[in-house]
Amino acid sequence: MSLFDPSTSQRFERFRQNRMGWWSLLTLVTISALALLGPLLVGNRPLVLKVDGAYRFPVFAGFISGRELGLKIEGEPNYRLLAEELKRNGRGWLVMPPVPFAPAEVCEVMPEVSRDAEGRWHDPRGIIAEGRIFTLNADGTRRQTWTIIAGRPHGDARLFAEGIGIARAKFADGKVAQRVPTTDRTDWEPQGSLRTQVPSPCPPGLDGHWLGTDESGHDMVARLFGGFRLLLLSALIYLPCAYGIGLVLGAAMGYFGGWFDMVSQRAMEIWSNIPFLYAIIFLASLLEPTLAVLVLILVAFSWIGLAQQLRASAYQVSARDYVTASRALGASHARIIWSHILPNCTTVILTTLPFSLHGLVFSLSALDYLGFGLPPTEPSWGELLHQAKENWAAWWILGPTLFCLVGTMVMINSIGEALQDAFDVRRTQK
Amino acid sequence: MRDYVLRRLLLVPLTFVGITFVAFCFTRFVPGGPIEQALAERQQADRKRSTAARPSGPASPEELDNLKRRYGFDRSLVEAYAIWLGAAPGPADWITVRLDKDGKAEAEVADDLIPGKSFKLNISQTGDVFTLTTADGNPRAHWLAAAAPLPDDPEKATRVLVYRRAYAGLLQAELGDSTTSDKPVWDEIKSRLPISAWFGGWSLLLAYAISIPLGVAKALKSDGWFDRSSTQLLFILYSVPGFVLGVVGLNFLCHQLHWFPSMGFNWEHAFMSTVLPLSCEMVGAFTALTLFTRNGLLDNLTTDYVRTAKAKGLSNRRIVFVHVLRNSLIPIAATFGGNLGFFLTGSFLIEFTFNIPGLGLLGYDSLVHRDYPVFLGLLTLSSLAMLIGNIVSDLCVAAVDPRIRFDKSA
Repeated sequence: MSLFDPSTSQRFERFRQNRMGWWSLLTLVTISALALLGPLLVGNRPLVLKVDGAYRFPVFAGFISGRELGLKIEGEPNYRLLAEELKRNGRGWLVMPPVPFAPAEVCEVMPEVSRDAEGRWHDPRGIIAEGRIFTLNADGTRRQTWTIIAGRPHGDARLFAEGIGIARAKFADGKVAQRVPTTDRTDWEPQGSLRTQVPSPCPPGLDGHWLGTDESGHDMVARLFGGFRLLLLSALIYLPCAYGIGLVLGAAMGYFGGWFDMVSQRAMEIWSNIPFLYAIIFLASLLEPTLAVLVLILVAFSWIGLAQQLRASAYQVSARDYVTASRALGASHARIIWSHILPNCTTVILTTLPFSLHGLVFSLSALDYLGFGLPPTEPSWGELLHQAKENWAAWWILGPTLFCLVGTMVMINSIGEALQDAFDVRRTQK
Repeated sequence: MRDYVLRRLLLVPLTFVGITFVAFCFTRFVPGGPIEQALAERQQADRKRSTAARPSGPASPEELDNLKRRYGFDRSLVEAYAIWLGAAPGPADWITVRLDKDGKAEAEVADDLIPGKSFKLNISQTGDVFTLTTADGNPRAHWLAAAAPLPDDPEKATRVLVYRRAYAGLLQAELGDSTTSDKPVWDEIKSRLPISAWFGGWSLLLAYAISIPLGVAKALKSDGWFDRSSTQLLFILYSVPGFVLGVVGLNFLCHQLHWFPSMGFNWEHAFMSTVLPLSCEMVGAFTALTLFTRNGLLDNLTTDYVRTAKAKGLSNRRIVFVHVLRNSLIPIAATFGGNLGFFLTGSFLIEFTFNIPGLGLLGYDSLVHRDYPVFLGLLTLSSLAMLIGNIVSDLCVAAVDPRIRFDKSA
């Protein structure tokens, strides 16, 4: 069967005529292709890094210790801060991905602060009523901190070296009142690139977080992107497994019929009556809930519907004369199933594919929403919905998640509708 | 037809046993069950007080043994299942006592003849045999005693289990007691049932009352602007998971605009506390039904009998509403039974979102707290509803279409 036989190309044309479905497909494929780029688009390691004349590619190289880059830290530098430092001291430059946060990275939102004419400190949202301002090292540790009350330094200010406090001063009304040790440092005025910290969830627009952060300080854009990647990955596991099992069993049941069919039908009836989400919750508590485990559990429950649909179409085909003819010619069961039954199931497969995807996205999101899904470090849309429910003032969590989830669902279902329309027998006969 | 229904009914118990047995296996092998909960409680208590062996308190050997007996973990899987089902006798109203030095003890047990009362039984041991007598010295029917030794028993006195041998399972309409509230499971279910039935009833009614006329309207003007745009709209509605709409509704309509109560369900304000959850539950419910109706109607409109009817001079209205609609309702009738189960079991994502104390939320809580009697009780209910629903579906199909006979194998 050629891919471009007349009826196939006719169907394809009809699919393209459904503009909504066609554009949904194009959009979904584009987004999936972008999602495959992964850390090149969304990640906290720079694409290119030049320090002291040497080029490095941390996004491919992975972990690079701060020492190798000539910093005084063992761990991985915070590249977003390093970028500023390199700019300041002229040792090099780096290019971050468009979204410089990793999906699983817990970010401290640290917008820069500024001082107005009256000497009060502001963050992007207004005067700092009560908080801290600080300068940072390239690894994200603090170098110097000041306590701010009503826009002015008040109370403790500290100086750190490698994470350990080495000097302290007390402010009163914006002036130094007391120093410990008294001799070391004389200049306690806040200066340099100063930042303050905003608690999570933080609203959009601060410190490069276009859509803000979620409850635990993950960047929302990175989180949504990571969630889509996980869905994509799960679809890549789910579809072949569910359709593989459904196809083999469905075709066998429809083709052999009789005793085998009867027993399998009963087994499937039992299995499909086990409340699906209950069973998943049970199994997920039994096994470590990784993505693969969750998806395989979903497969375990969703192949039934597919098998039943495929059984019906295999049943129809196996009664056709050409099947009888090839059996008379001595073709083996395997050969008949492979070359007659399965090709005739492609319509069923194609038209049910989008709706299986719909089910997958729904189930994974629902599980994470209920708190029975992936561990909370993994990015997931369902978990974001759960946060939105608990944190109803944080509209920037709900809004984008809703848009992404419903948008994806609408696209998937539009493709499904267009496919069904294209494969509609009634239309073909017209 | 009668034979077919009988055959289907005969298969119901078989399937039912299969379902509940698989679920029963789950309850045995899933971690975090009552025994492990008790052990974890003990570890916490130990950390606080750092006394290693205590005769009583959470997860003492005594209490662990009681827990095991309560859940049937002291028996094999099949035996425990048979007792749950009521197909095998199990120990009921049991109590454990210690014999004194003379090999005697007294046990106060619940009276099986006068409900709510208790009576005393005297236990004495001669050799390996335990004898039970009531206060007047006569034996009491069905009451037995057996040695119940504990591993690493800190006490020396013989531990005896006094129990009534009785069939007390599902077949006797006994579902046991909830382990979280200690109320009978059946009472728990009964107290939640009205709310789930309320929501289920409305959604069932509205789904059919809206979808079928809509589907007919779409089919009559098929491929017109109304048909196309409503199909598009239906697919968009289908794409919105109910619980997502629920979260959105909670955020904006409840928390920000205060139009609706934000949590729970109140019969006094039934309308206000129904609107939002019901719309979330139903957001995707119309799509399949409407399109089924539409496509079925369209299929039937091209058939020969319609052409004949037209040729006969019947009005379009009569053709559609009398002849075609009836045939188009066959696939719809086939979905009816499946919805019956939903009607009873509730949608637990929606109930979870809105904190509505229906059966769905009860099921969720029973899973979280590993309340196995409640879980199995709900499973019993939902699988029975589903199995009966399937038969009802077949009967509906047969009622709508007298040509369909299930006797012949399809």
